Amino acid sequence: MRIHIETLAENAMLSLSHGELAKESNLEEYFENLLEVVKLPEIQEDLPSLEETQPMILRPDEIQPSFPRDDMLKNAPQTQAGCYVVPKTV
Amino acid sequence: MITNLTVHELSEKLVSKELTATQVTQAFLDQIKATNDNGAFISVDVEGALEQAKKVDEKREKGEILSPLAGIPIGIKDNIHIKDQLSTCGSKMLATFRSPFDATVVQRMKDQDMVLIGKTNMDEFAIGTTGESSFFGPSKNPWNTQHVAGGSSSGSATAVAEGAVPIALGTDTGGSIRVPCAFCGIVGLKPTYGTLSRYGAVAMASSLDQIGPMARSVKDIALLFDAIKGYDPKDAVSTQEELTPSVETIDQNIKGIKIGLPKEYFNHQLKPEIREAVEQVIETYKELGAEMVEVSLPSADQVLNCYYIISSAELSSNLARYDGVRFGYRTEEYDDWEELFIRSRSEGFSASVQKRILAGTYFLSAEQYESYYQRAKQWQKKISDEVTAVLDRCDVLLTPTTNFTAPQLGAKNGVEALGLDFATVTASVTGIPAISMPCGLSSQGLPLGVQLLGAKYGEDVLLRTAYQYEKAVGGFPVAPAYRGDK
Repeated sequence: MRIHIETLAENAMLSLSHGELAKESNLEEYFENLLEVVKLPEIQEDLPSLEETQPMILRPDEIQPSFPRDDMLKNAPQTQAGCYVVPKTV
Repeated sequence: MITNLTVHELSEKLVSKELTATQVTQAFLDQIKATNDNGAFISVDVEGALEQAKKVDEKREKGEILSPLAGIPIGIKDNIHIKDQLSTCGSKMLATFRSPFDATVVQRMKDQDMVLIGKTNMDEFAIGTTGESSFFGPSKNPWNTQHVAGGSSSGSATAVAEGAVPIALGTDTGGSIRVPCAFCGIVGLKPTYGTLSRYGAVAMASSLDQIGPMARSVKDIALLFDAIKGYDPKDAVSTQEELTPSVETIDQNIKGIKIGLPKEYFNHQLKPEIREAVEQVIETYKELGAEMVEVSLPSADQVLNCYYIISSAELSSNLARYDGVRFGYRTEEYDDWEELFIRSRSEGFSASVQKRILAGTYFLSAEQYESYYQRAKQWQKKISDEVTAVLDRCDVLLTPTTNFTAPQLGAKNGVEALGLDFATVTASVTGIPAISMPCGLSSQGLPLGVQLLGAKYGEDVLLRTAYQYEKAVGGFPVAPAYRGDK
């Protein structure tokens, strides 16, 4: 089975030609081996997922105080006027 | 030697004022400096730790009644947030990230007046079983520094085993506390999923991640677990179940306790000397009055794959947030937002993390979702049902923690390393608690580990069973190179 590694990388927002993955060889072969190893057999029984039997309990949808804006911006690579600076998107 | 004392031994000396918190903290800071080459820590808060210790001493001088954990130094895995301190997750992606808030467990430890001494090394984003993938270099095994510490809570295990801290926090998604504990000859608990708040722990696989304590005594584990467990509304899966305090019952005998031995975990892959050591543990438990029960988990050979698929899928989603915009590494060269995202991620993550993201992306893709992710979730339910049925007949289960001793640095990689998690992933996939304890040394002098698994929310029974073994064998010392006269 051929893995369309280029499509995977695109979906994952990763590059095969730049950065750390560019240094790896035989990525397709690696994934083909991996996917053979981790395959699971089909289950015949009709089983609910664990989440259906153990649902999350969400807290009430109430407004609570949050973090100061400046604190949240402290780790940003670039900010301006209290906002994150990014390349033009529109 | 202060650094050879366990948490409960230190606590007694602090309460009796035989030692001050400042003396204790300074002793561990000196040990951290002396063992720096082992790569246990990413950052150490020398001034902050001494300041915290000083405040504890002042409180004690005023006659305040303090927690048994007051003044005890602790190492925190570098994916658990301490406000204003680095949380790198062992990655270039977060090499300069400082957390704007405390994790809930950190706040609870501060409330106990513990001394948060530093952030420990780890496999990058908690993805790994050997401790070799950290951007800051590997953590070494204090029993033989040519060997790995195990991962991903590598630094925490190294730090405890070398006497640099008496206790540490790690995280465990598929064995990341228990594997390094087995390799480094210390004790580590992965609690029931939902008992320790994950708020402030950087997510790897959200339905599997758990924070847990690592130390050289089960009693220390119980002390810390009791202090920081409990409901947190900031963690959507935090349990509201009443949890029996573990310390209160830890010294009760275990006569009549039923210990299940799942035959699938004593298979042909188990190294003979690990098998012998675990059989010796079984004999010790029999002498303590426990009853052994042969059990079977027929789906054991599917658990590792089930884990790998679920964890890869979830981490590919969790790591999508690292895009160079709000925090973390940003590439220097980009023309548009797409290049910003792709280059930042491709330069900021190591190749092994990127490969895992690709795997998770594959498992969640439209064409493969049913064959991989959905099927893995069904297997998860099937495995959970089998484990629940077996635990209806037993109080705990017993298995080796790993099939191997700690490999040499550089020896294991890629698909082969998957096998290291074989015995630990069962507890992760089912959400039940599990503890690893030392059970002897290999012919090469490397620690061997035995694992107990308990029923959900049954940490009190699990820790009691573990502690009675610890008492029977006389405790678990620091690695030989770091022992002194007590």
